[in-house]
Formats: sequence, structure tokens, C-alpha cells
Amino acid sequence: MKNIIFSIIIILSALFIRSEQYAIALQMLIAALAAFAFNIKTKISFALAFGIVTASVMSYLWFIKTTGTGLPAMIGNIFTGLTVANLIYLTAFISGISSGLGAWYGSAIAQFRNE
Amino acid sequence: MKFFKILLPLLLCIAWYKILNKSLNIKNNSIPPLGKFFSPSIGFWHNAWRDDRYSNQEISQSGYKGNIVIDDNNVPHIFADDTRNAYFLQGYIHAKNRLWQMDFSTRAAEGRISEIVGGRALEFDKVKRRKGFAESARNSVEVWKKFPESFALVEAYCAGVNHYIQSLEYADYPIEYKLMDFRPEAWTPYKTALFHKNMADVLCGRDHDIELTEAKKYFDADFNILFPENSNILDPVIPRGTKWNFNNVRKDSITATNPTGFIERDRENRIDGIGSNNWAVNKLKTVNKNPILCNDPHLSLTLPSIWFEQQIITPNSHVYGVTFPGIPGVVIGFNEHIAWGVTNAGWDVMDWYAIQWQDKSKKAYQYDGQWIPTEYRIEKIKIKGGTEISDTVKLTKWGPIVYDDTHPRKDLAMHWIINDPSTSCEMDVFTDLNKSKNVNEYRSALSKFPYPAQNFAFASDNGDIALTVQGNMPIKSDQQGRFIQDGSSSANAWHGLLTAQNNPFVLNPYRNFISSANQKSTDGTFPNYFNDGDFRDYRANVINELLSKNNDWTIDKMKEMQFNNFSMKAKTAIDAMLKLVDTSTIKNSPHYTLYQSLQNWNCNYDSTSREALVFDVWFDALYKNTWDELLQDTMKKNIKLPSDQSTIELLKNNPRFRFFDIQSTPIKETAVDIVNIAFDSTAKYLLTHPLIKNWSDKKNASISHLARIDGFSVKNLVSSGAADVINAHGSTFGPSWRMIVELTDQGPIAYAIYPGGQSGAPGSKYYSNMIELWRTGRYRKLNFTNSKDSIQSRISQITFN
Repeated sequence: MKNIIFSIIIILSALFIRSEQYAIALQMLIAALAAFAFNIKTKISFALAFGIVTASVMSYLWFIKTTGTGLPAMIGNIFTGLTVANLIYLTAFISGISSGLGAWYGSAIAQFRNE
Repeated sequence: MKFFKILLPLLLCIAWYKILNKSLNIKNNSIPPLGKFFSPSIGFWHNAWRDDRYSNQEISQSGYKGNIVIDDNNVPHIFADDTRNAYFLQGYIHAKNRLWQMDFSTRAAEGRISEIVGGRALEFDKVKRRKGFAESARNSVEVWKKFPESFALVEAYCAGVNHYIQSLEYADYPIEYKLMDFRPEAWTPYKTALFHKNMADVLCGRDHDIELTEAKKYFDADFNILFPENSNILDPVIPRGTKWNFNNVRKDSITATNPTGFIERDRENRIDGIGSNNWAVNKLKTVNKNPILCNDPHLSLTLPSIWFEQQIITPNSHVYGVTFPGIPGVVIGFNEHIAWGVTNAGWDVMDWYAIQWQDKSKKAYQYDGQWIPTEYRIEKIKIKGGTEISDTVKLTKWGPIVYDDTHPRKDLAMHWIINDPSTSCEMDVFTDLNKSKNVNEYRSALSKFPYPAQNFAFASDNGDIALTVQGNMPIKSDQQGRFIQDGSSSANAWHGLLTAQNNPFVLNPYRNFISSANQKSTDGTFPNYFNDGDFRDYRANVINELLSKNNDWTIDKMKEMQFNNFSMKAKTAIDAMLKLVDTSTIKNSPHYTLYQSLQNWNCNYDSTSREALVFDVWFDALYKNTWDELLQDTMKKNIKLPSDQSTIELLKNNPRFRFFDIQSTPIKETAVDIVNIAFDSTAKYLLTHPLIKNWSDKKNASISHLARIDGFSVKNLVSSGAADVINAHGSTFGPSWRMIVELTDQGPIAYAIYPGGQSGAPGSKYYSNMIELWRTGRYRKLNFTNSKDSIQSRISQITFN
């Protein structure tokens, strides 16, 4: 159960934080706090957060791709001809790493406290 | 080890955060911080999610009231109780659709692009600042404040823009802000003034003083043949025979100075496609016995488009047309009673004066026998990344020294009409014009329009047609301002301005139509000297010929005419060129097929025309071989080249003219030799360029994004048209708005199109959706209505209460 709640929190933080300056920092911080609070195991924290966030962001962006404007294709052209699919993978990867690192740090603190 | 387990992810978190928040510079291109830009919630994905989602909105406590009904082409129809409320709504909807465009173009005028893109824009910024746009805009605003009612309207417009800006957070910024990593700033009357100055720069910021000065020296006795002020095929904007209501203002003339050292200047590119058309026919020339007015102003084609279409309805005014995002009011359009359209008059209102410095320090210059101390203005230019550089601008009584000591235009002071003090609130012009009902009100509204001088075509539902060439026209001596002038004498200053009542004007001319196509405003009888040196005649002549010979005009026929691709230049040239081809030597060669195809060509620049391609290559080769003396000698780069029109006249009338000789050959060529040499090189060109099969391939038209971001541009546009045809569409220029209005007893019926879309958001379905209709010569019917209910197909409504 705690893993599910942890997952929901980090997914929401990856998709809906709207701070210009601190979006990434907050995403990492929330992942860290959630991992700490739910005492996620250090061995799986990074992989769990990375996997869940990457998959969620990817799904969300596929949804935008199919229902949104043609902007991603134009952005892909600007970034050396990346396809929209590659942009989705790249974005999801960045988000996944951010949450993953945050969760890793939070779980490491929790483990430190427990030890 | 325990600490290391904490330290490692912490350090990785910090490093990752730093990487994602850093702007990068790769190959001189600035890459935004990836964390923000790629964020699913606030980065470009948010724009992709948001930009085409429309819903009804209610906005309260703005202090303004009204409704904006947005139809299914994203055209806003503004309903308000008065002009002040209407302009607030206009500012709001301009910003909602075009905020980045408004912001970027005014920052460009202000010389602040280095703040956004870094040092590569430094020279651009320096020139803008030295020309004095910012100071000129500030001065205009101070004048506007003296007209409180008018200024209140400008302030209402600004409040509308700012209301939208204040509603934004980073996630909502237009994509270009995210890509270039800057943020919008508050809109002020100063920015509106800057926008006006920027348009003036586009339309009256050109001159040929240096090039003509050097050309006069170089061509000597042939100068007047090659650069006639009134060509023998001129059919002026105001028809010949029009009586002027004043006598010659100045009877003296001014001679050019002979400055030296203006060498190695990069020749200005010959830009194909520049020009604009407007015309109106009265009821005697139409099937339905109603006046019809047409306009297609040709500008640099960009995305977002320069124009934004809208309708504004208040109890005192009901107007439809296109607007400039950044300026209140409708610029080109129609109301219940009148229609109007503009083309550029092209008067030379930027003159250059050679300054004689006291010594190398340039701390004083000669003026009427005295040494006048140079004044200075310090410009501080911020560059992205934190540095700031200072630029000292020297100021003289004539104006600023625009170019520094390393530039060929050094030591020249610029007197430009836009830097002269305003005498009225220019923003009143369109407010008044929008509610004009007849020719007198139209004339009165225009009288305040200072620059850039425009040919304002007019038609009204009472049957009048008129054309006013409006702008502040300097009173000049003969030849004044055509060449570099001596800056040491006040006698070389302009002698005031002509009053608006004396500007060239015609009402209901005998031929039952009025027209303009950037040809000269009047013939040589006009009692004041004005010049440009780049007036073109062919396009105007085609228009006038078509309008003269037909008396059964309808909207559909006007549509065909605006898309007419016939070239009188090609017709005139090809008749002369084909006669000179030596057919005996090519009869049995593949060249003969080319020759035959040109014989049968209708001289239309259709996209698929092979003949248009062949002619264009042939004429280009002929032109380059004729003026090889200038084109191949870098020391003569600053000499103005004779026009295509002058070259064709020589070909027809003076085939032994000395410049037909190719300097690099031992024999002395004539026009016959040049034509055949060029024909041969054309055949070779076609063989060596197999992928260029027709005119469209050669023209390679595109519509670039305003900031030249390729991904947001439309490339490889297959389109008809060329520089000297009515459909004056070159590779980067073209008809920026095609409009046809028939003024009937039941109200105006109008059709229009422009090459872009209403939304400034790249990727939006309204970003470039009208290009296909425009490219193929099709139109949209405009929904002129004062009833909200009759706008059936709508995507949203915004209510201010």
C-alpha cells in the first residue's frame, strides 16, 4: 500500500508542479520526502521512482501528442530533428531521473536514521 | 561508508539540478534550461496541451466591460459600449494571441535583442539605438499626453495587454519565451510608439543617397538616362492632368556633395517581391453598380503574421479589418459606409549629411561658419549572460551619426522624419478613420498621419472613390535629399513640411478608378520635389490597363486580378530579347526548343511555369553581363545599379550602349552579343540544375518565423507570383493581406485572406492555417455583423464584467 501512495505522490509531483524556478527541485524534494516518510528501501527507491515516473510521464505525453497541438514536432525539428517519440522518451527520462534521485536520497536518509 | 551512502545521492541530486537549470550555448545558439523547458507541467508540453483549448471565460474587476466572441477561424469580434472599452478588449486579445510577437518586435526597435539572444545581435542593437527609435518613441508619448482623450484610449489598450500578461504564469508563456528564456514585460504607450516607429522603419527607412551620389559620379552623362526621376512609362498614382491647388514651393536646386571614402559598402540585396497594390472602381465599372475596393499590401512574410484580423463593434463605430498587434484600431478595413486600403508611397524622408569635423577628436563640426560642439548620448546595451557595454552616439543638428568609424557610412549624419517632433497623437488616425462615413471624414482622419507616407485608397457607399498620398512631405529644393548633402550649411535643411491639404489627392477621377502600386505619386508637375529612386512602373501599368479596359467588375473578377501573374517586365524584355537571338546558330541545337517555348510564353509567373524559370535565369544573366563593371569590382560596390526597367529600355533603344561591353573580353560586345551569351549560359544553367524544373523551384519561397527559428517556419512553398506582377510574391515577400470589399446598400460584402493564421502559437491549428488558401488564390468571406447571435460558429466567448 505504501508503495502505491508513494507512487501517486511522485507521479503528481512530476506532472503538476508549476513553479518556474523550483519545479525540478520540488519534484526531487517531494520524491525524497515521500521515500523518507514511507521508508522505501534504498535498493529499490531509485528504480521504483524512475520506473513509475518515466512510465507515467510517457503516458501523459502520448496523450498530449494525440490531443494537443503540433508543437512537439516543431520542437523536435529545432532540437536537431528529434522525432516526437524521442522527445517523449527524453522528457520522461529527465523526469524519471529527477524523481529517482530524489527518492534515492530520501530513502538513504531513512536508512541512515534506521541504522 | 554510512555518510557516503547519503552523500552520493545528495551530490548526484545537486549535480542533476545544476545541469537541468543551466542555459547552454551550442554553436552560438542558446539552449534554454532543459529542466524548465522539458517539464511536462510548465515546459513546451504545456503549450502543446493548452494552445488549442478554448472555453468561455468570465473576467471581472478589470475595470472594463465588453464581450469578445471568437469565431471558428479564431477571429475575435469585440462588442463594447465605447472605444475605450473596445481598445482594452483589443489589447487583451492581441496579447492573448500575439504577445511574444509584440514584445519581440518592440524590443528589436528599441535595440534590446542582445538581452535575449546574446552578443550576436550587438551590431543590430547598436544601429537601432543610434537611429534613435527609443528616444523618438519617448518624445511621441510626451506629445500624446497633451491629447488626454486620445491618450486615454492608448492607455486602455495597454491596460488590456497588461491584464492578459498579469494573468500568466511561466507555464502559460508563449513558447518563444521558454525557448529564448526571457519573460514578458509590461506594455506601455512607449511600446505602442515603438511599434509605430518600427513599422516606419520597414516602410520609410530606406534610402539610396550614397549609392546615387556615387552613381552620379560614375555614370556622369548617362546618369539621367539610367536613373530617370520620371520614367517614360510612368502612370502615376495621381493621374496625369490632376490640378494642384498650390504653386511651386521651391524653385532652387541643390547639388550633390562629392564625399570620398564611401567604398566597399555591401550592396543592398535586390529584394524581389516588395510592393503593394490597391485600387477601387466606382459603380460605373461594376456589374452590381456598387464600388469595389481591393488592397494587398506586400510585406516581408513572417510567422506569426504581421496582421491580426478582427471586428470591433461599439455604438459609434462598426469596423472590420486587420490590425497590428501593438497598436489600437483597425489599420486596413471597412465599416458600414467606407472601405480603405494602403500601399507604400516610398518617399525619401531619410537624408544624409556629410559632416566636416574640426579635428580627429570629432568634438566639434562645422555649421554655418561656426564650430558647433558635438553632443553625445550614451547607450548601455545589456547582453545576455550579464555583461553590459556602452555605446556613445554622436549627435549633430541634423541628427545622429549612425555608423561608427569603421563603417563606410561614417561621418554621415541622418535626418529622418520619424525623429522629428510629433504634432498630434498619431494613434487618433485609425480611431477616426474607423468611424469615418464619407470622403471628408476620411481626409480629416488622415491629415494627422505623419509617416510612413502611404497611398490610402478609398471607396464609400455613396459612390465616391478617392486616393490620398498621406504622410508628412518635406518641402525640398529640386534634387534635395537624392544625394549626400553638405552638412556644413543650414541651407541644405528641409524647408518645412507640406500641409496635409496639399498632399497629392484625387477624388472621383475621370477614368472611374483609382489605383496605386508603388509607382511615383505624381508626374513631374507636382509643385514640390520628392524622390525615392526606386519607384516601379510595370505592376501599376498592368493594373491600370486591366481596370481601364473592363467595365464588368465583380468580386470574383477582382479575386482573379489580385492573383494575376502576368509580367509586363517579362513581356517587354522578352520581345526585345527574342529578336536579338541568333537563331541561325541554334536552329539544330536543344537551345532552339527553349527559344520556341519562350516565343509561346504568356508571360505569367505561374508556379509550374518552366518558361518563367527560363526567362528569369536568362534576364538575370543578361543583367549581370551588362553591369559586370559594377558587379565584379568590389571597389564599386557602393554604386547604385540601374533598375531592370532601365536595362530593358537600353536593350530596346540603345543596343550599342557602352555598358553592354563585357570588360573581361578583348572584343567590344553589344546588346546582341549579351543576349546570346546570356541565352547560352541559361541553357547551361538548366542542364546543371536538373532539380530546378519550374518557377516555383527557382523562387523557393518561404515564410520565416519572426525570430528566424526554422522549426517554426514554413519552407519550400510552392507558389505563383513574382516581383513585378500584381501577385507580387517573391521568395520572402508577398501579399500580406488580400482584401476585396464591395459596398452595397445592404452593407459591405468582403472577402480576404492572409498568409498565416490568427494564433501566434507555433503548432496551433490557427498558426498557419490560412496559408494554403492564400497560396492558391482563395479567400474567406468576412462575417461583418453587429449581432453576436449571427456569429454561429464560435470557439469561445470572453466576457469582461
